[in-house]
Amino acid sequence: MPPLTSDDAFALSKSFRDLSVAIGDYRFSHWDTLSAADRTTLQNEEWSLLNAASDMITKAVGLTLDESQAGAARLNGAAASAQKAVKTLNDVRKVITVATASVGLAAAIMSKDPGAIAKNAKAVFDAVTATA
Amino acid sequence: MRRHRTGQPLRLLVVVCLALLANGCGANLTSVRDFAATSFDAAQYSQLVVAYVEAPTRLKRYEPPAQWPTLDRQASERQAQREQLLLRHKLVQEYMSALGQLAADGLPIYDNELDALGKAVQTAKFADQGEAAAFAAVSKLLVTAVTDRWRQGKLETLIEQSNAPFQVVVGGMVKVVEQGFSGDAAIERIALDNYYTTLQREGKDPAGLAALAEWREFRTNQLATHEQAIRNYVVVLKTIGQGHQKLYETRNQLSKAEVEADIQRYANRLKEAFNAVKGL
Repeated sequence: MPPLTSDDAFALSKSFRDLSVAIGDYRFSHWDTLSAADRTTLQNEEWSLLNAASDMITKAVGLTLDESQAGAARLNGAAASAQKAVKTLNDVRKVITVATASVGLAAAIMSKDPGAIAKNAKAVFDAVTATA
Repeated sequence: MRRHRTGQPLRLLVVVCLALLANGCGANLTSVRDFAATSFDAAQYSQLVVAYVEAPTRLKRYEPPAQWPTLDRQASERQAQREQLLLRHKLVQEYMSALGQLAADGLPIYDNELDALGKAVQTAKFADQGEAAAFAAVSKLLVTAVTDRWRQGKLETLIEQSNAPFQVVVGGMVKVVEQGFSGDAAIERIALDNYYTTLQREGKDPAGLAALAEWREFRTNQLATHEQAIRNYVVVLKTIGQGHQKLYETRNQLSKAEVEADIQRYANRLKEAFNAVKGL
């Protein structure tokens, strides 16, 4: 698979950012029906995804990401699928599953571990597929 | 009387030739000097780099303590990038200083900054090898201009040899500001909205909610100003690149009136864009 370029990293940053916003929108639009614990869990995932977006910008600006073996298109696809799923879900458990898998993917990308990236990208796809 | 009448056109011809010779030796090139001086000033503007480096620290005001170790790591990673980002500004400054000096038929000045630039090129880490090569090429040309005591006659050579790498360096700066810094501002906006909307949902005290609304408006306005500065600086950088491209395309005829007018238009556009940045 081709190495991740700065353009890919910028695109990934936007995907994580958009996913964080989608989870926030879900939290606010279901505010009255969510438990305090679920709100906190969702908000923590939002912060983690937002910080992953920030990490991607840092990488794109200054660091090489070319050791990564995962293809940018596949990674972007995983994050975009997660965002789409969150927008259409009503069950908070499923939203949390997708959000947690996405945070795992972001962490794997930062670790530059090809095995972990592939595993977590699959986990996001699985989480999204399971919620469909 | 007759001899006097035939001598007048001759004298006029001599005056015109001397004027042309003088022009050839040292054309005025006001617009090139103006463009170089404004580009130099604009490249000095480094507030956006500082804001980028400090963004993770600013995010701490919105994020819970559990996220702070991540933000601290990001802050230190960005601190390590600071020199490389500022180096690009420094290179454009030094280049525009040399361009302006040659256009004025002066000697490019050797200073410690140029020396430091050369050393920094050796040690800086560039993500893009093409950009690293471009950076080194422009830097080397600047040193040659100083050591070989280039004058206005070499202006064309400087523009011709530096345009390709110069466009790579400025293009890299545009990308960082247009995508990186604006992406960063978008993240800060989301963090701000997340933080204040959550507090406002949880709040019950009317006075507290009113105070929150005021703070939210204050922070939102601060961020809007920062976002505007980013957009304006993108225009500044793109105009520097476009203006230099025009210099390159017209390098053989820089003293022509219409070329001078063209370059002056870039200088004016650059001034306008940079004044918009400074005015924020």
